[in-house]
Amino acid sequence: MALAVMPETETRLRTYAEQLNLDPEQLANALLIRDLEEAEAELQDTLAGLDQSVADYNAGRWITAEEMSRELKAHVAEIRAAQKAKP
Amino acid sequence: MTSEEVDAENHLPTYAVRLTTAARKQTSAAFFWVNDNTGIDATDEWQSGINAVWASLATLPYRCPVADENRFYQKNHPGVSLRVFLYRYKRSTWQILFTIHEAEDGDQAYVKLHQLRSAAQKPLTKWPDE
Repeated sequence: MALAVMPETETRLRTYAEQLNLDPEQLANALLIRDLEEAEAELQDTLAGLDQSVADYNAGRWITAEEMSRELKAHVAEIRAAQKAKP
Repeated sequence: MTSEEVDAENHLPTYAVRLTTAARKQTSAAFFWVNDNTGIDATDEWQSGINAVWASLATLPYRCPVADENRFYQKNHPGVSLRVFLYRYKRSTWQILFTIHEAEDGDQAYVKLHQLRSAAQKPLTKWPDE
């Protein structure tokens, strides 16, 4: 059987498969399916987040980069001041 | 042609840069993550860097590639391309997902920043319906 993975990965895969008493190809497929499922779940999250951000924007919930920049600079000043105030 | 005319001819259009609620929260979260992991001096550099990113998006947003997620985004939002800017700082990379909106109906042209997410997340390989 030829697995479409790097030789080092194939060695590890065969070792794990042996320990688990599984066929290496079955184990590879199970891992691939898990990776795809994780990627798909992440995609769904991203798309839901994008739809929400469009809805927020349309509802007027946004700020300019200049405002955000001022916010971040204020955080920097606060953190520096807090550090200075420490004994 | 006068120098003023040359300048006017070479002048690039500028876009307002606006952050949605999600982008704002994620940018703040990233800021505090950098501070927790690297300290305030590096965080100050990080925020200068992200300011520079926003400034570059204000002038040259079209140079950024279309995001991998664009073909899925287009299903709900046809006609607007989702683009990505990779912001690298030290060993970390963040993806800024945004769309470009040309001036219309009295509103100026703007770049809408939707999300800032860690680029350590896995690339997308497949759509469930496929």
